[in-house]
Amino acid sequence: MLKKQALTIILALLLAAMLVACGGTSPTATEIPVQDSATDSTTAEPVEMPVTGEQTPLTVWTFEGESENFTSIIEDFETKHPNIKVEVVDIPESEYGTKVDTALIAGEPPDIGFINDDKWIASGKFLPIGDHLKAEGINIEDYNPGAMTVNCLVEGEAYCIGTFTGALMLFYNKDILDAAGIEYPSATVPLSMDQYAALAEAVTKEGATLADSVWGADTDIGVWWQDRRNFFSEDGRTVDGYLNDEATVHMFEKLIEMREAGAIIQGNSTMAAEGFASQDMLASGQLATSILEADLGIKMLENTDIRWGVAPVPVEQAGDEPWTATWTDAYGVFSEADHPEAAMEFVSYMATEGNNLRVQQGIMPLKNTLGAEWAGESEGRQQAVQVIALARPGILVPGFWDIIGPLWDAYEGDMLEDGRPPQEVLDEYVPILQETLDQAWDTWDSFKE
Amino acid sequence: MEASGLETKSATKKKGKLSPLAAREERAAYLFLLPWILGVIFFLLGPILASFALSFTKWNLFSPPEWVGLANYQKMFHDRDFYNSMGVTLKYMLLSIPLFSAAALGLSVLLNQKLRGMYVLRTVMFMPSVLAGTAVAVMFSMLLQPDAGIVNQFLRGIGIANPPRWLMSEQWAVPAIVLMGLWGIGGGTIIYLAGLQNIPPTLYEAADIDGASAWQKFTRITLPLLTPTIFFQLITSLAAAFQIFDIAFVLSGRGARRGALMFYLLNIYNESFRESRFGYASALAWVLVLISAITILVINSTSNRWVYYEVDTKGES
Repeated sequence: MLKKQALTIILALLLAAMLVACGGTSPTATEIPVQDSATDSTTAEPVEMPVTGEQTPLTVWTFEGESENFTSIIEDFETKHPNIKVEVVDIPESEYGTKVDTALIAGEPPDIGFINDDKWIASGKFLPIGDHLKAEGINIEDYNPGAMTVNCLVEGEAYCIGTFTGALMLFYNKDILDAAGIEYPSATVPLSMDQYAALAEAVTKEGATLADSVWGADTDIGVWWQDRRNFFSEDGRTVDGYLNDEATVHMFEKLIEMREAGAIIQGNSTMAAEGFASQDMLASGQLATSILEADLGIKMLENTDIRWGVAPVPVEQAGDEPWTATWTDAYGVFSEADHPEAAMEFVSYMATEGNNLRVQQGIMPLKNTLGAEWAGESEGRQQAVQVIALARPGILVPGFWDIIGPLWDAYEGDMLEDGRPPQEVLDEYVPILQETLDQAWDTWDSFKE
Repeated sequence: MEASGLETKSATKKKGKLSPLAAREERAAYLFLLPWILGVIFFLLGPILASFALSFTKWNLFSPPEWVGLANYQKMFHDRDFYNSMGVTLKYMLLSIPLFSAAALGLSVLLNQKLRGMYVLRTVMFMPSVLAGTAVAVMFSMLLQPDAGIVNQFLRGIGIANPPRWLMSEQWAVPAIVLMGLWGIGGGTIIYLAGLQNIPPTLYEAADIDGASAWQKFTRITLPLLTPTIFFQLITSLAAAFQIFDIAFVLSGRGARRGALMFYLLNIYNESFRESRFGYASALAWVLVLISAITILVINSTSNRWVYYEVDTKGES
């Protein structure tokens, strides 16, 4: 009987010990005050002293792979803020939205999150950070206005800030243009669709083999790289009269003309059959121009001997305002964050030191004023800074990618395969897109109710 | 008289109090069942009832659900994606179920032969079935790539100049998914094989004595006695076809035109997790439940006309 009781007590103690060990944040030397204030310090055991009281755990959710970029900034931040411990959780991009939604419903989001869905801001799940940034001496006007409006600014209020600028640019191969006697595109004045098509067609050379061929361009529909105002009304609620207006129809006509002339690399079955992508052709010096993500294109071309330059993406018509599509890694503080103050500290640290870190990593920072430092002596990078400077605030179109999705069918199927005129096809697709757009706005508006 | 006394005693025991031991056992039984019961309540019944209630609301996940009555169900009548996704799913069913059943049955007949190494062959045939659907989908998307894929390279090699563009073609996208499904017929084959091995060999011996040909034995003995297995396979295949998702989810972004791979479950996923229309998505889910239930009930009601059980399940002699 005594044995049984002793065993029960031991088991109970073990269980209690396990529960203590499992519960809450694991204690560290810096967060547990090991000495009672009343205890005489002279008689206390020598122990590792806390740095400054309890440590605040800060959780950051981001896309898988991103945490590697933050190792040094976190180390630096933790050194300067010894009471804050940052934990970055990598989540696969495909699961990120569902995981955040679930956490929000459960009322247990992390402190900081990467905002890749505008609905979270619209429904008040992120805190406005403008005042905090201002108090820290951070002026959001120093940051790329295009990327900020796409990801972080809603009705003039900032909800997040990032560390890099992603941008779409027109890369060109100077050697190919020189050989064809064509002037380099300007870094500040965009080509019109007519000029773009003329350039692409002029340099295209169909050789006997893939290695002997040169293509002028590598684009599909311009709906994703041009200003959304070309296809939607200023309030983002209407497509009729924009998607099917004369200028957009002309853009599609030009794309078809280029494709039929073999000037656009897409649809080249030989290249695809040999397993090459258009970027391979750019890197091998067989593609005259490419509309490409800036960081990807620059890093790729800097590893080749190709003489290259960048320009803003073509616009529908000569004289149209230049447009550079930009975006950033938008980090904000969840409204239900356990430690909003510490989270604000970290986000503002990313806005400053995070941007500096990107410069060191060779990635274009979000902060425009660091552009020159990032570009250094590189002519191509300096041009990229000029192109980035053309970025303007965009317009909000909720569910943009789902709405424009059918336009690939319209272009590849109806126009190219079936040979139907763009005006007729676009007129047919307008009601389909408008229906999807109306539904997207209906949902968007419901977030704000 | 004695027997009657025992019955009375037993009835009294049933109605009255249990013995302490029996009561303890009963409590223990419920205690052991509790995790499962709680699981069913919270993770199955709860969500099922919640989704039914949500199907009458407009809910974006973050705002409180708004009651809309039958509006979500009415919306389906005008929803292009509803008709398209239902069409794609039905097309897949009509193509896949007969093909998979025939292929699995044929294969099981071959694997039922008494040959050396047959166990190895059976294992090899079953192996693809254990691979994850996502991995298989990615692998087949490479095999069926219209320009560089090995399938089209082979077809060109044998003289087909313009082979199908498979997943990138409006017409061929669903057939391509069906062909992919053949990869996983090992599961069905094993079930057919079990069915074949349950057929008494004496029937074949009697048929041999009567001089029946192989075809006659197959159509008069094998096929009728396999009908319970075929019935089981038909019902499970139907249920699986209604629920096809993983392959469609992985492959839908790979160029399929005009919603050619917009399966019904993918449509539900898009409506809920992409478009945040959880009320409408719930209504779509309930319509799927209704359609599948009706289909299965109709098939079930016909079963007594074409399914033959060796033992009479109705208890009639």
